[in-house]
Amino acid sequence: MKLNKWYLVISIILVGIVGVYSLYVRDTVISFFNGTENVFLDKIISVLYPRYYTDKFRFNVDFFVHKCDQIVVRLVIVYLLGSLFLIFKSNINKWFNSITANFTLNNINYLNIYYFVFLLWICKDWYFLFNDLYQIKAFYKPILLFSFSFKSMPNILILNLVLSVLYLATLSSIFNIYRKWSSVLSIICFVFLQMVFFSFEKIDHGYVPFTFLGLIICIVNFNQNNQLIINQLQKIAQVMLVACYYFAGLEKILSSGFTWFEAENFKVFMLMHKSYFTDFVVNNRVLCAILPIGAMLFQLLSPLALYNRKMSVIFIVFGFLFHFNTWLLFGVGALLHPWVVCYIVFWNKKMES
Amino acid sequence: MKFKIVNITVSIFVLGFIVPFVLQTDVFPFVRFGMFAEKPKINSQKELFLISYQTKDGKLHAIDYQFTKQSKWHQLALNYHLRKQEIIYLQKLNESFVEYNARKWFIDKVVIKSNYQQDTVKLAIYEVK
Repeated sequence: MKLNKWYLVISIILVGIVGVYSLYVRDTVISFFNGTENVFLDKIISVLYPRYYTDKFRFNVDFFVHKCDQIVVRLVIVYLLGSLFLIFKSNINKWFNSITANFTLNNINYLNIYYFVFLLWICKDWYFLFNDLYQIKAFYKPILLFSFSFKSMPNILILNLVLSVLYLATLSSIFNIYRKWSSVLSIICFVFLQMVFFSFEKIDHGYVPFTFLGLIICIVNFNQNNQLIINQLQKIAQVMLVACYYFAGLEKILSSGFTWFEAENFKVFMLMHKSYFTDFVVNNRVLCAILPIGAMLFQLLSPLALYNRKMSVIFIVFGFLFHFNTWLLFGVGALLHPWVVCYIVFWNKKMES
Repeated sequence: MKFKIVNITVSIFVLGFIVPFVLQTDVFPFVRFGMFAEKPKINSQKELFLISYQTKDGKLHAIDYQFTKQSKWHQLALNYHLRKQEIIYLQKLNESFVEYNARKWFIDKVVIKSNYQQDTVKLAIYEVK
């Protein structure tokens, strides 16, 4: 009964949102994008979509109206998925509990060493990076979280201090010295420095699952004596990782339909990101047809990796190939991509043996 | 307590995926996974930006190509170009590299077509006062 009430309330709200949007907001949005002044919309956009002020020189009104329509469509999708989750809650819980997770107290030690060695490797040249960035501090534009606290770029002394703490805390986590707190300190510094790095008009998605995994490892470190929580957290980490791939696939479908399944679309992307192999691939019909379909299927079917151990192994193999090809053909990412580093979440005892 | 930890973690991640997904924007540390999501234009071509400056003795110097082709620097030049703010871009460069003692700054765009032919377009010149 209680659940039905909630359904009714949420449904009314959703119908209200869709109705108000179609009858009033959509026209206001169109006239705003056509140049009519609207202080309220301008404020919302400056906070939520700061790239608009660049994009408005690139795209026409239809692009932005499509984006607004998408917000409503996505709200409906989230609502429907949320409803399905509530209806099948017990089945989903059962499925969640069936995911293989074998992190034990013993291999958490190795997990920490593995993660923090990679963190150190990722940040190895950040001293030079932040000194370079500080030189061009005139270009600093704080991201949303920094817009209240660091309106101008933090001083280089502060940045170097945070970087030193990051290195020390990471080493401390590797060698198991005050690991609980050193891992937290390390992740806080890592996130802080990323925030500075991304305050130059470009947010890089390469570190996202890696950062999420770091947060999970911190929580694991505080619950080292609780095998149940450790298992649950490993399962959350697995769901989080495949969700990153799944959402990347879903975004492509929602933003540009099924064009990613077409060879022509792939060719255009290849020509925009030329590499040593561009000519070979662009002139090969079979590769132009297979590669984009393979990439889309890999992303959209990634949740299958949670089904069983065999599927997770297949996911890992295709994941390596996916990132390797993206690096080789588009010059995007790296040979050992930070997303690939996160495949450790599928580690279990059977794999070990 | 144990369920609180798991539930809080799950809630943070669910919000972290849903908010950027619905709003189609990055709210760091939560991001929208929209790389390569927009449909490219058929006539899309690769663009590079060349930055150079003239010192007071009249000599012309180019900013290291390796420097400008890195994605972050390229993105900055591209954003200012798209916003038609090339002069502001050059002013900020001058502010960042005072030690160069530049008299004039130049930004050119190199357009690389699919047949590897290159066109260079002069975008802006900023004269230091």
